[in-house]
Amino acid sequence: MEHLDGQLDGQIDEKAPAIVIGNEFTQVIIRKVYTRNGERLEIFSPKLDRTIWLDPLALESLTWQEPEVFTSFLAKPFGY
Amino acid sequence: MTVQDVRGKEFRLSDGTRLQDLLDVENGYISARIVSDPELYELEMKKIFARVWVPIAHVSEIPNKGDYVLRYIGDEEVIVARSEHNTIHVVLNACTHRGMPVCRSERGNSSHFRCPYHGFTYRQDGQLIGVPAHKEAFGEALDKELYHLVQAKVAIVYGLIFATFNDNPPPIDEYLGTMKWYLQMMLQHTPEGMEVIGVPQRWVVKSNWKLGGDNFVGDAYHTFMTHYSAVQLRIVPSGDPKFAYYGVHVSHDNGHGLGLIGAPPEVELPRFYGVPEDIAKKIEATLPPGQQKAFERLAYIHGTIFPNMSFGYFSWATEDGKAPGSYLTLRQWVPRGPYEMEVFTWVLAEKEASDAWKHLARETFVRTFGASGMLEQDDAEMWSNITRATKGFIAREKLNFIYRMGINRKPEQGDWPGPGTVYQGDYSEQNQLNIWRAWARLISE
Repeated sequence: MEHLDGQLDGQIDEKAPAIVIGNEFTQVIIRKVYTRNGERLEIFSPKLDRTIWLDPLALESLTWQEPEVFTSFLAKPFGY
Repeated sequence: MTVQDVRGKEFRLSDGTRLQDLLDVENGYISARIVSDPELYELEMKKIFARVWVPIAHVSEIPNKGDYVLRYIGDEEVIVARSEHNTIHVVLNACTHRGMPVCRSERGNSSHFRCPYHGFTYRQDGQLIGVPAHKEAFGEALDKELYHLVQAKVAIVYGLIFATFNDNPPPIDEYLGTMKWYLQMMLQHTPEGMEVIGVPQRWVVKSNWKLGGDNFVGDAYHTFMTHYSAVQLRIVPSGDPKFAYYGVHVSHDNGHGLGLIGAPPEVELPRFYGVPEDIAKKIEATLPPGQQKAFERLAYIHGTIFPNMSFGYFSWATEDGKAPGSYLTLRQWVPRGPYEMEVFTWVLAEKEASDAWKHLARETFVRTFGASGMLEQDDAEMWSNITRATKGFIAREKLNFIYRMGINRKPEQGDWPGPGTVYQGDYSEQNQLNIWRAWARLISE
């Protein structure tokens, strides 16, 4: 299996208009991105300069998570 | 009613003055020192606000998971939050690491709170759950499980959120006693209860915090003079300057009290404050008969939940040719030192009511009470000047306020259907003395 670096810099055909979700603690910019063969949701943190692309299955799996899952994510408040 | 007397208490202030020499509740005299002494202010924070149940918010202000508002218990800031599990929590707004407030927005929505100083992150119930670079910074020396924002106990009564930092508070029902009957009448007379319209209006008055509660709990008499212009303008529809006399004056244990005013028998009053027919039907189906009878023919309720949450349930005519509007207002007198308070005021209407009825409630409120309200400004003028006139040494030493109105009047139930110690006619200072008794008992304990 060949590992392809820079997956997040892969080819994007089109980006939908962004929306900003923010509160007093942080702010993220989310938008739909279209790739050659499909689409994903991009979440971008300007503060941390980090991005994640989530596909429909990953997004769907979020719907059955308990609040504790996100609490455990935040054990490292800035990702480290 | 249990008489919570202060006689026999030997509590002394630092200059040797006995507390009991500042209050003669039997004969109706209260020293001006009580509303102006910085030493007493410190004692109030420690012996009253750190001990009793304090109402601080309404559930309709945080309807969704993650909603929070900042409020005060005494002069200390707390976060009132609804968790991801739909439970309501109250915590001191100070990080366990260095005391930095973890929330700085007055209201918002968040699943967690992250301290802006070092990034310590908390769940809505105050549990520490995240520490940046935990391994490198603390290693094994910090077990997150052990740390928690300082937590208050919470009780919800007809939508009103009470909190206390007392580890062993009395049960809330015991603390409120017979006052609870009236809270149900005002806050839960329809199945869904009352709803806060908008956000609380807030402003600072250079007045001792206790003057607000003292006024609202029982001072129907000041309406004659202070609010006379409301009579002249027919904001009081009857145009009767003695309008606030025609009612009952009711005291409860632990300092709570209220007055309930209708009108002279010959004056007609709209039923249930003139609510629309659909709401009247809901009241008939919801309120027990006693409360229904009491609520049916009222125009003004004023009162205080000890120590510093007052309320008014008022009906005023603010526009010529239009029917009066009615609203419930809550108001908290937040202490900010002995000579200043921040006033929080809420306006509420029935949750199920039409937008038109809620609009009328809000419009009537902002014209009469709230920062822009005529009667509110009348009161603030009095209280700020009382503090100005009584904070000096001479007033503190020599001035005793007269609380003798109704002092010889015996309780008389008459046909009033509600509980508590009932006095006929709302011109009385029994409720005010009742507050001072509760105040003195706590200060001297």
